[in-house]
Amino acid sequence: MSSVLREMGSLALFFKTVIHASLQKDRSQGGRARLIREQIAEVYSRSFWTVVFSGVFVGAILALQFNAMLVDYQATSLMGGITASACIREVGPLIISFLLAGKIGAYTAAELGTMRVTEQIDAIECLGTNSIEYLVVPRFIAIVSSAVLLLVVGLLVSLGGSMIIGSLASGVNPLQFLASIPRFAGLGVFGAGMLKSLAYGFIVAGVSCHQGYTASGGARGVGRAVTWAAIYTNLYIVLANFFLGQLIEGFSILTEGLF
Amino acid sequence: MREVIAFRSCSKSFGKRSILSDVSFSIAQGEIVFVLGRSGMGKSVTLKHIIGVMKPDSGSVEVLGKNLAALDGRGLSDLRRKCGMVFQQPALLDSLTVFENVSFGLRSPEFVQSRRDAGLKPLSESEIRARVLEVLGLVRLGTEILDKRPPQISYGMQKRVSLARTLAPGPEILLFDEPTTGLDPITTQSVNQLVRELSRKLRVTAVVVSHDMHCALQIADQILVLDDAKILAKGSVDEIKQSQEPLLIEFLSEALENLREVEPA
Repeated sequence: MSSVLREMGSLALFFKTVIHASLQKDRSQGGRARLIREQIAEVYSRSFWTVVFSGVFVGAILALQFNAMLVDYQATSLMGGITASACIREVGPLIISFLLAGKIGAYTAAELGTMRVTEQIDAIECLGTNSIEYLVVPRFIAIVSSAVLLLVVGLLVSLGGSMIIGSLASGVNPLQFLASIPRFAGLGVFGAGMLKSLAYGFIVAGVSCHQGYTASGGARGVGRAVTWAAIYTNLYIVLANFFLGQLIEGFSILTEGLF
Repeated sequence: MREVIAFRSCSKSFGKRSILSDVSFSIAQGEIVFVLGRSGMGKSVTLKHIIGVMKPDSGSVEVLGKNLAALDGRGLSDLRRKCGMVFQQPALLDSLTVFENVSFGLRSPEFVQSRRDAGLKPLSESEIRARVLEVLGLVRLGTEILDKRPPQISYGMQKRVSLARTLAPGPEILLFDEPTTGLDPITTQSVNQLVRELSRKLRVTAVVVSHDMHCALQIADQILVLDDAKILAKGSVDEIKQSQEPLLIEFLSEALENLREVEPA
């Protein structure tokens, strides 16, 4: 338990350093915008098709599960709304952030960890460049922004997947499917999904960069960094999901009727 | 000669373990000094004190006439820019070409700022290219590798590129952290010659942390041997050769044996 608390403290300090560096005037070689663009391209090339592929099946699985219940209550016309709500509010952000943790988080931890143990980060510092600004900030911003954009992509394809299954398994008309979405998934639900994606993006980016940046002890150290990046990311995402869920629930009660 | 590095009664401990205990020595400008010792005897810690990454628990370290403890972040960055560090591994950035790696320090915010502070403009692209070619020439590398990435060239070449990258911003002090570890005897010999040649040609002070007495005997002006947190011996190559310290005799007999093998009569 004490090691988890120590890790949380160290991560909080790392977050502070990275956010402080992000807000500083851009002094990066080649410009921060270019470095961020490169990292976003890296994130998309590594995870876009994985998100699309798994998004289709997540939607299909949800549709199949809900179909069994909705048929009993003769309410299959509500399938679009119920699937969209579950997807946007809970399953979508969670699954996509787990995927990002596996694909991008592990890659980032391994890449930065290797740079640390082969003294590349020390060399960058000795050559008069702030390694946090040059290496961590672009990766951090790219992962956080990509998490939100990939969620939108994932949600769209998962809705497509559930629409196809809804149509094939219970003959739900696609137009009827789409028409029921606003009844269950309004602006509030969409906002909750975005907020969760943003928070999980912060966790994936922060934990993987932190683990890689602080790696030590050669190849074994890099292996440890990647393993702990995966463990801590998933742990923090589950914890954040619980607390954000409570927060959003409380907020929705307070603002009932406004959205 | 001007004193460029001075340790004055420095002590450093990690927990209960003493790494440096009341250590004092100085290094003059243009000297090649080897810091030798067994593993864990404080060689790398000494190097880290010189670039201000570590601070002594007591005593002081002066580099280029400045007490490191009195410098703020900006002052330390400025000082580090004057100290070129060559790491044990080449530490080149794999995602950049050789040209981009060597020019990295010339484009760094600290280097650009230092030129502005001196009333100079940042280097233009043509000036950067000329400087890169100049330092590659100093380490005997040609232009054919400019567009290659580090994994596409040999390990020995990577070491030279790493040295060229360190030389590019024009440091006054060169710090080497075990530069020949893991190299074959021929590449070791050529790296040693480069250290000596560059130090003489560029008139920079070189501090080499190593456990290789054989290399030290070949190129050092001064040798400093650390053991049990203290300086076991310090002097010129001839003075060290005449030392009667048991550990030094052991170090020396092995090194002289190697030397005879490399340079048969």
